[in-house]
Amino acid sequence: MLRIYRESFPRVALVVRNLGGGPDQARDLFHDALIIYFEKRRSGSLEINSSETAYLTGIVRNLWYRQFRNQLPVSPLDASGEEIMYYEEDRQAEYLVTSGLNQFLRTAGKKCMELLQAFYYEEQSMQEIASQFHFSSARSATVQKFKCLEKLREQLKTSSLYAEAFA
Amino acid sequence: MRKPLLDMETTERYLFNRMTDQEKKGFTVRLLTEPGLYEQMVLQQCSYRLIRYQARQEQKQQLERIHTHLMEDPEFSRLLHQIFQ
Repeated sequence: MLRIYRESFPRVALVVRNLGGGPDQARDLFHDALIIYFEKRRSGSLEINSSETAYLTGIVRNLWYRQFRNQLPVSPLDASGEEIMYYEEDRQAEYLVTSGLNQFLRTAGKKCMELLQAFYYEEQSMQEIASQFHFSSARSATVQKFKCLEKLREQLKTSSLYAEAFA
Repeated sequence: MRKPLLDMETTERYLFNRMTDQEKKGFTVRLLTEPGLYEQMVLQQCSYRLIRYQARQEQKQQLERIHTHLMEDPEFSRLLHQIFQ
């Protein structure tokens, strides 16, 4: 990650400057682009026909236009599905967090969230998770994963979002 | 596994599109007829979003640390200052 950062960030910063942005915007957009890049690489949906830097620069451009779309009379370049999804998902989740979900992290515990992230975000197999979290088998890890998910779901029920949606 | 967990497992296979057409039809009927099941499915979908969001926040913190680390390198820092001068 350090290597990609060192190699690609100066180029991205140059692009953001040419678009009219500052160093903070360049850093934030680059971080978002790197996350999208790593997620795509992990899921096997990454198709690069150019260098990593050129690819990241392309994502940053799309994110830039996406972020400032409402301020522009015409959007010069449309963001791709994944990039739109990235912001939409985060916006919804951010709302959930501000609706009191931090409580889950305090009550259900760090280990539960780590286990859920290992499966649902890092896409590790249940076998790998069993070994990493010291479960006797993949099946016990699966049961624990659903127990953690159940806790999170229960916590969500107490959020204001739930009340709004299902009242 | 107890029934609520088994329902979660089934819901997960539905949400991640890992069901056969036949299973999907059956589950869709359950969603329409079983009280509370649809609501549980929506909550489960929100839970996945939240997990992803939390993981992304942690990755962003890691990237912030890398940024700070690289900015301590005079050459890297100078290059960036030149770009935004």
